Amino acid sequence: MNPEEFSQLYLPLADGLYRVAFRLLGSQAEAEDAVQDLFIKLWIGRDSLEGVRSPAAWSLTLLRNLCIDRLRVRGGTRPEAVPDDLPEPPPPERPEHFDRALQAVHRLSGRERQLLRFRLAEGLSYEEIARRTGQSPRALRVAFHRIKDKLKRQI
Amino acid sequence: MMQLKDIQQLSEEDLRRLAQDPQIPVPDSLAARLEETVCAAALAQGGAEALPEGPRPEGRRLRWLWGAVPAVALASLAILLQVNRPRSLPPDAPEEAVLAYAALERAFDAFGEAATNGYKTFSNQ
Repeated sequence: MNPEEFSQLYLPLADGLYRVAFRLLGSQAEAEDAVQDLFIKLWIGRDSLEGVRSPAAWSLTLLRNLCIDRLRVRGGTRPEAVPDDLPEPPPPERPEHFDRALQAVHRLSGRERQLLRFRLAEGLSYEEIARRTGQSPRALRVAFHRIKDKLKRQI
Repeated sequence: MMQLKDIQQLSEEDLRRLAQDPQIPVPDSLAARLEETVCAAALAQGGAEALPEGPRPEGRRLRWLWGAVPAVALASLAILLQVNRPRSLPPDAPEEAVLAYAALERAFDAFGEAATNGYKTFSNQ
């Protein structure tokens, strides 16, 4: 699944997924982290998402399982009915160097982050980015060259 | 916050209903955060090379030509001047003419060298 398809099918589900996570976990920070972990998982496995008939249903199921894992790790809501011999939940799946890459993204300027999101997350072509931002292709080339330079130094 | 056993029993329909609950406000920053998460995941997998090069600007080849044309013109002029300059004065030429001719020769040599160096610089780019 290419970035544009992923963006069109899954990013619009974010608000609903956040509401579910908030209801299950009880805090904004935990809910945001859970939804972030979900999207990392979806992105890593995006090639296998081609066969998913309902992105919403699939995402909700994965999110519920992630929230259950978080609650087990937190240990804050361990009711008596849950057996004690359940295996430890696995750590969240993240690509290697993800945290370093995320820090590198956060160090970019606001405009650079927006350009990066247009290209990598939404999969827009340069022509479409030029139309949205009103910048010339030449200015975009310079901007992306700088962004790539900054990222290379930090990742 | 729900209990773990209740969460495990939630059906798909229950989850859909929770997703549409209008009473839970969604942070404005969520969309941007998730897009940046996707960017970071792509970069972590592919490095900075995951970001393709930007568009090649139009007219780059023309810019090179605009630099080469005057360089070639100068070099051609220098060659023409070198070929057509007088090689010597008559033996009875006045001293002023000899001095002027020597100065002109030095100027021709300097101009020719400058034009040749300029052409070499542009052609090496």
